[in-house]
Amino acid sequence: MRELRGKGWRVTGYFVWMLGAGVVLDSNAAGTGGLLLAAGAGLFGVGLWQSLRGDGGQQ
Amino acid sequence: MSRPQFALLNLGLIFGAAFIGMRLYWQSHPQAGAGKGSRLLSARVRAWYFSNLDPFEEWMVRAGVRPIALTYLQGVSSIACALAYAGGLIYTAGFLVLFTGTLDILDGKLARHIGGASSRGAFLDSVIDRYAEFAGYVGLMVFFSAGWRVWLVLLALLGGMMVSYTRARAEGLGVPCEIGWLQRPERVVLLGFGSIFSSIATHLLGGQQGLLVATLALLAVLANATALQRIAHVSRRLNGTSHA
Repeated sequence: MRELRGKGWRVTGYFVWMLGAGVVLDSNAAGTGGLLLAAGAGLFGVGLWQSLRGDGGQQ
Repeated sequence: MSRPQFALLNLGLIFGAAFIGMRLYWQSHPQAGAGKGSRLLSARVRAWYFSNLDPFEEWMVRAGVRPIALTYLQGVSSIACALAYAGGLIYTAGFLVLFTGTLDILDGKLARHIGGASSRGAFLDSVIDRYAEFAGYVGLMVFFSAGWRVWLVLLALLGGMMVSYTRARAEGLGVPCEIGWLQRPERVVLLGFGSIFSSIATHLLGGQQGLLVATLALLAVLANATALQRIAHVSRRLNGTSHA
């Protein structure tokens, strides 16, 4: 999955964050929503870190 | 943190990250506005959004994913979207509208990349697009079933279907018809962000999804106006020609 390094993981994290926010706002499943939010933020952070290090496939 | 506070924070993060991403992309790609755009979705915004999908396109090419698989996934996502609207999960439904639209872009990009843009694929893609759009509105009809607002949903659905039908019929008669204010990408963006904003506004201010109703009213007016623009355009082009 080298193609996703950098921008790919940032975009994936962004979408997962949005989904988690939807779960938190629309339902009472705060645990599931919180997990998705954390996963989204983590993926976004990994993608950002890869981009800043310059080893992202797509900037 | 309370839900209204979280809604506000989420709004800032989502749009802040997108805004920064757009600015950085435009700075590094000053020629990005050269393509095709519209009043609602400029060529620069389209170029930025398409660029975000490039890594996925490359990964799918390497993994051997077929465009038709994305088209089917789009169908599944639209059913989930309908269920979310029907269940009153407006933010999630708005997200799924945007996700389904993104899959629609990605399957076309992937097909062009691998040189596999077949007539069968194009046909299935456009048919599933219609079902996907219809599914979302069916969910909205269930959500608004008791009241006058269901008529707005019906009018917006009619407009969306007529925009697509006029183009398909015109192109069947040999007249290019990719014109009008509210083509499918614009409708997806309006309904998706309209739903997300509406859910956040309802958490912050209370009420009953007033922003979603306003979005549906806008869609109902502009989609039907687009269909009328197309009817006028094709009528002018075909005036005086005979149908074999």
